[in-house]
Amino acid sequence: MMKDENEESFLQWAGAIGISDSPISNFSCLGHSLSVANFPEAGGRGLAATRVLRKGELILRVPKAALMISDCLISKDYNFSAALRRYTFLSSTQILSIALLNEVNKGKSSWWYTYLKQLPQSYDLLASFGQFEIEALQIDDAIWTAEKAVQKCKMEWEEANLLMSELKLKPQLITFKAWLWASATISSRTMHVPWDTAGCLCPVGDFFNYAPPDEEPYHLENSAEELFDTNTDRLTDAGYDEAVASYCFYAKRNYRKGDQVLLSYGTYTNLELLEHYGFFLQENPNDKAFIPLELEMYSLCSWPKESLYISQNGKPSFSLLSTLRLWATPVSKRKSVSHIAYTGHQISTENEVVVMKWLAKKCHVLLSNCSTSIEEDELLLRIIDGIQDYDPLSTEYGVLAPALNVSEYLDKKGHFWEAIRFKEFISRFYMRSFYIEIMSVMLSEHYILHKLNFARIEAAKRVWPTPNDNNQRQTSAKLTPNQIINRRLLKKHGKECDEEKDDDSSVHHEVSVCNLIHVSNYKPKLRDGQRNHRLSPHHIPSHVSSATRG
Amino acid sequence: MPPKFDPSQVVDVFVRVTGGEVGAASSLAPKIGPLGLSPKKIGEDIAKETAKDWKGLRVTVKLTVQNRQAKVTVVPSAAALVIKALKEPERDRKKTKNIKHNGNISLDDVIEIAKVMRSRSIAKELSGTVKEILGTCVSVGCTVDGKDPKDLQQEINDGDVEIPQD
Repeated sequence: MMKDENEESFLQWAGAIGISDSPISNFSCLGHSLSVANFPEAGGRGLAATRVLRKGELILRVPKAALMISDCLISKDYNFSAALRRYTFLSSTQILSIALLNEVNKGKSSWWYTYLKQLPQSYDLLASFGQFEIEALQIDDAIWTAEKAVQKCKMEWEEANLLMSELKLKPQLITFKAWLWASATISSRTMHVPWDTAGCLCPVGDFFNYAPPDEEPYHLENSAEELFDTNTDRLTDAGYDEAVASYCFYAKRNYRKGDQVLLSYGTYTNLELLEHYGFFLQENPNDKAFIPLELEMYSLCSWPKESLYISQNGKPSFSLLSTLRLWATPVSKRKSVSHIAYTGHQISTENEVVVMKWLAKKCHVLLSNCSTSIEEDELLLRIIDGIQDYDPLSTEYGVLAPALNVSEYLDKKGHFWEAIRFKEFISRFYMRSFYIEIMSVMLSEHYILHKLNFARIEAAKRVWPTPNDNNQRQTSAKLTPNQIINRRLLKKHGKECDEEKDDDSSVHHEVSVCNLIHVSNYKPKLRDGQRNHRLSPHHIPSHVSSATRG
Repeated sequence: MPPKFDPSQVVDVFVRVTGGEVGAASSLAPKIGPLGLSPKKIGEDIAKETAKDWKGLRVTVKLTVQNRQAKVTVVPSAAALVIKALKEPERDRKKTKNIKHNGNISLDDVIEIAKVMRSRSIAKELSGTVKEILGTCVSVGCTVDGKDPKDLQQEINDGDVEIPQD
């Protein structure tokens, strides 16, 4: 309820300062083409279309005065600007974070009060991940990125600390937690402006959720209008327009009434999304998986290291494939075939088989080095979802089944004592008493969690219904997204590589690859469906089929 | 920490294509492949963009790639502009070989082309750019106002022919 009021007063405020979704100014912020709506399946709060929107249409305009720009905040606050002069080493992002905290510090007297009040209380960026959560990511580069993000945030906080204490901010705003909130707000909500690298905060404009940029699907018959649209000058969905001195947002595609209007912030992988914006997508066409390569390979190719990846559909990137093909040829022949490799063509069938086998093996090794398998992660996800949906008033035993699975799983894995303890926990759970006691048991269980990376069970602990909470289950906090994300990202990464993974013996693999190449050589125009029909798709890593298609 | 909608995530790629034709995907692949775009689709986009004005002409095309979308702009060379001004009938590149461009264009055409090329020319004045274009005419093999372009260059140098300032 509280939130709705916040939102309403915020929208009124926004309308009054000229933020509008219609070309004519009428002092109401939204309503002409957009409205705030909740999309539980896709990002929570977002903006919905209130009418049919055409691609490329201007859907929201935020005047410059309504943008939260650090220059503006500084010039309005004499104390702040005077203090800032002595801290020239601070980056523009740090300055904006401090400016934001400074505004929060002013409380109701701040001009931005209504805007600040409706900002989220917490974010799930990588920087806010704990050690335990970071470890659950399991993949090396993800862990590394997360650790770096945390360190960077800490360092920036320490640098900014002096200035913040000089500004006499309230003690709770000087804490690292407050800094995390501010920097996460900056990271996930700022928009690019040409004059400041930190960007600006844009009220209402930051309601838009993300849609991944993808190659436009084929239009076989373009109408004249669409033909015009495909080559607009706009490559980003929004931008600061100097001519009208406002931030303009344009529809990315055609929307029906009630659709969520999504904009693309840029091209990011899931890990980058999580690092900068604190969410990620189940299906992200721009996701990449990096596998460790031999040193020799890096020297072989002229492309940057970042371009050597496996994309979301399981296909190795152009650069990776070319490099591997070249690498797989004997050293003496490399020079003569390099031009073929660099144009992205297949060098020879044998070469292709070697490349794919190497890739499959690498992915397999990478996956098997993870402490949990995808199946185990999925099981955990299900358990947590089960616990989350558990209704303490129902006496059904069914909901406990997944929990029993865990104990079985622990048993199987040789964690005998943990299994017993878990069983004990379940039996107590089943009796539906001693909630608080269970919580303490769960806490003492902490070391198991550590050992087995049970991040999400820890999460379950938090949402545990206390006895007096029984009736208000609906309002009890949901599982914190952090933990879900944690696991899901892991799952995602695992899955990606899994597509590459070849479960069968290498002999089988070779046969299927050869088969495939055989087929694709002689019937190059076979459709996917037909091909799948001929060969059992289970044994063919998807990248093989896509790689030999051309 | 990149702010949203950062326009600097852009990559520019230049490719040389025959206008209005969908080239073989393999010719675009080495340049476009590493950017994660589909050469086939880009090839079609380029063909669509060049079909109207540059049919059958070899032109350089600039691809501005961002968010996995490419914007196609033609960056015509002086020679391409001259040949376009000749208004030659469309030919099939595969059937007619060794095309000779022995047509004629007017000096006004040349000045028009020079104005297009002005930003890319480093000549101090427009007359310098005009002379550059006349040189291109020599290379293409056409005449200007029925005269040899070289003579025209001389006349500009001598001041017999006036070229407007801009």
